[in-house]
This record gives sequence, structure tokens and C-alpha cells, in this order.
Amino acid sequence: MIRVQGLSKTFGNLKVLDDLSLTCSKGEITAIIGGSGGGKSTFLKMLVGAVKPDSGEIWVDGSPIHALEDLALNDVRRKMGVLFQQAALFKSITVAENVALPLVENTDLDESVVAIIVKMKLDQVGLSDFDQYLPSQLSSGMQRLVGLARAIALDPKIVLYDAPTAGLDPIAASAISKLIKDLNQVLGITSILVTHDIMGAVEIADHMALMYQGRILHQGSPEELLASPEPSVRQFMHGDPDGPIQFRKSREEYEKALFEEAQ
Amino acid sequence: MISNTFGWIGRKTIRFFAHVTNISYLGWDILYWIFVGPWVGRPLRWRNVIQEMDDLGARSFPLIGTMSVSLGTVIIVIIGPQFQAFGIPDYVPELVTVFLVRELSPLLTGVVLAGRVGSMVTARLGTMVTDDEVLALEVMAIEPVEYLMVPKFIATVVMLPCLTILADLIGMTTSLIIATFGLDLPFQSYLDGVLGACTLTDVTFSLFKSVIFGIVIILVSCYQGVNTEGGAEEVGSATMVSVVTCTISVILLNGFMTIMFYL
Repeated sequence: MIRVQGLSKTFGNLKVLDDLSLTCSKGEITAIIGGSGGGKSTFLKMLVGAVKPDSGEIWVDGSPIHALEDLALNDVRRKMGVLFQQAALFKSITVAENVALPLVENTDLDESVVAIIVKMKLDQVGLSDFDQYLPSQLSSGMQRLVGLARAIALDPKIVLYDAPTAGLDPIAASAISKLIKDLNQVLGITSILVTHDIMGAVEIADHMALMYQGRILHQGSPEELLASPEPSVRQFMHGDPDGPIQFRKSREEYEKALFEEAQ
Repeated sequence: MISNTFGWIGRKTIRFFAHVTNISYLGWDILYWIFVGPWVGRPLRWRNVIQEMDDLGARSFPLIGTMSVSLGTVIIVIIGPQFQAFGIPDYVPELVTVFLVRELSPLLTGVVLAGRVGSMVTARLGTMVTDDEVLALEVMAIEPVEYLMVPKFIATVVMLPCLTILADLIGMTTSLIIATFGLDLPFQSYLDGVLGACTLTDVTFSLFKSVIFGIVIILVSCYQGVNTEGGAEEVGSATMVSVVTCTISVILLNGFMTIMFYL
């Protein structure tokens, strides 16, 4: 369904993705976990063609995203939904209008049909009573649910989630995780989930990939990653600050950097 | 020191032409969606155009009206007594009309709209970019230029000449009232003088300038808005740069076009 081969991207001097390869099977939930600033969000943007890779290939449902021009790219985008980290709802229009937007813009459906679909989608995320609210009148968890309703408005084959549970209380986070699982099971949606929420991902993912410094370090089923003897995987899965994955400089490195700077 | 200065000038010049080139591309893109879009299944969004006309144009009327009343009053109060003292009061309406219609109304309306439209459009688009709303449009297969910028472009380019005509009318009416009741100039002869001095060439030149100002203001504002990166501080900076650039552009273009007209 989604195949990425040898993907690389550099912004200025910063190498964000480094020869990244990954395959996501049809109808599965693939969770990509990794530290902040590891290139996960850039990777998601590349999957929808919003950022072009320096090298490498991205194949989504048989289409080469890396090589497509705008019009052809839009055809593929209509098969995909994206839930952004901060929902990215349009603040000046109501919840119902937000969910209706992809339908109004991409289909010739009658207004009454659009209204029914919007109601159905809002029902699916449990927010049908909030259709006339403005996004600013909702909590961040509810905004993300509206974002999810908008992402599935066109009944996409693929949904990408960018840190869908980040910053939410445990109840809202588990509600969203459950919805992602339900959408996957009921509608057969292929899902790619970028997250820091290891336990949430373990619960719902069929496949997990650990990303570090722009590469996939390890991948496998959640059980495989949890049971992995690999020190870097164990460190990340158990949230240990000390280990092979360095989140800050060691004392020796810090002293060396200071000394070099002074010179 | 000298090489640094030349280097600085060189870098600034290159950056200036890069901006001009990018703004030109944006202009072509907007023209494509206005003239070609409707033939490839993307009709113009007239509802949005009218809403933008209200937002960007009609709501500027109190500001333009106040400015025009003040302008008409100041000109007649300064010029009238001087010409009366020299015994040539018949030239007052002609001079006031030429000043207002050919120069001051289009220039000051342009400057006022540069501030109002420049700040409003850049801040709105900049916030949408930093909140991922523009990215959300792209991934929903909605073209941001067509959806967000085309209505603003049409609204500004139509409303600026309309507001200029209103500024002309209000300014001349004010000068007529002050001349009649404040300076004891005969109403009929003043009115005849105004109508005689106001040629079609003057009005056409004034409207031509307004259209050019409108195009420059909206292109610069949109360009600054969609190229905003970061957060609230960057949106503020982009808005400031947009207003300053629009205002300077209007002033310089006005000088250039007036010189070309008189030469």
C-alpha cells in the first residue's frame, strides 16, 4: 500500500531523513515512534507530497508521489486523510463547515447529501451535537476529533496521524486511540501513526518502527519491539534517558565542545 | 569596509530581485486561476469575493471617508485664501480638482489600503500557514492560491478604484461646501469650475493608478503571508514588512506613474 525506499532530505546543514526505507501493508496500523525532531512529521509531509525528498522513492497505492505533478498528486491526496498534531481546523468556520470542506471542494454532491455525510462523520467521532460550534469553542481533544472527522470525510483508503494523542488527558487520548483502531477494523483504513505515546501505539498498532536520526533503527510487531534485547529499542520502549540513543551530550563531549569553542 | 558595503548591496539586490520574481510567479498563478480556472472546472468563488470586498473594501470606507473630508478641507483652506488674495479665485476649483482626482485621492487611498489590506491579509495568511491550515488545504487537494488568494485579489483590485472614486467625490464635495460657506466663493461658478476641470483623462489615469496599487498591495500581502515561518513573532514581523513594503511601493509607483504621465 505504502512503500518508501531510500528517502533522504536535508534542510540547510540538518539531515532530517537519511536513506529511510519502510513498507506499510494494506489495512494495517503502522506506528512510527521516535524522539522529537527525528524527522517523523517531515516524513508524513512527504507521504502527501507537501515536501519533496532530495532522493528516494515514495509509492502510495501504486502512485509515485515523489514524481507526481500537482494535478496527479491531488488525485492521490483524495484517497488520503491527514489528522494534524494541532488539528489545523479553519478557525473562522463552524465544525460542520470544516468537515464539509473536503466534500464540497472535491465532489459534486448536493448540499443536503453533504449535510448527511457531515452528520454521520461527526457521529462517528461522537461530536454531532457540536456541529455549529466554532473550533475555538472546543477543547484540544475535541478539536482533534473534528480533525479526524474531516480526515475521513472522503472515505479515504489511507489516514495519516501526526501525534494524535500528544498533550491530551488520558481519557481523550484513549478515546482517539480507540477511534483509530475502530476505523481500521470497521472500514479497513490503512493507517500510519506518528507518536511519542509508546503504550498507546503498542495497544493499537499492527506494526511499529523506531525512527532515530532520520533512519528506521528497528521495526516489527509491538510484541517484538517490547521483547527486543537491542539496547536502543529497549531504551526507547522503556523511556530510559541513559543508553545508546543520546538525547544530550555526555559530560566528556560537553567539556570537549566547550574547550573547542574557547579556542 | 568598501568590499563589505558592496557585498551588502549585492546581497540585498539579489534578494530584492528574488522576491520580485517570486511575487511575479504568484501573480501569474492567480491570473491562471482567474482566467483559466473556470474553464478547467474551478469556477470563481463569487460568494468569497463579495465577502472579501466587504472585509477589505467596504469596511475601509469610514477611514477613506474621514481622510477625504480632511483632505478636501485642508486643500481648499490653504489654496482658497491665497488665490483670492492674488485675485484669481476662478482657478481654485480647477487646482483642487486636479490635485484631488489625479494625485491625492488615488495616492492616499492606496496608502490607507496598503496599511489595512497589507496587515489584514498578511496576518491572516501568516497565521494560517503557522497553524498548518494552508498545509491542510493542500492535503485535501484544495489549491491554496485558488481558494484563499484569488478572492482577495479580485476584491482588492475592484474595491481600490471604487474607494478612490468615493474619495474623489467626498473630497470635492467637502471643498465645494467649504468654498461656498467658508470662503464665499459662488456655488455655481465653483461647481462649473470643478466639472470643467475634471476630465475623462484625469479620472482614467486616477483609476489606472488605483488598479496598479491594488495589484501590488494584494500580491505583496499574500506573498508575505504565505512565506511566513515560525510563530506569532514571525507573523508580526511579516505583517510589518508587508505594510511597509506596500506603502513604499504605492508611494514610489505613484511618483513614477505621475512623472510618466506628465512627460
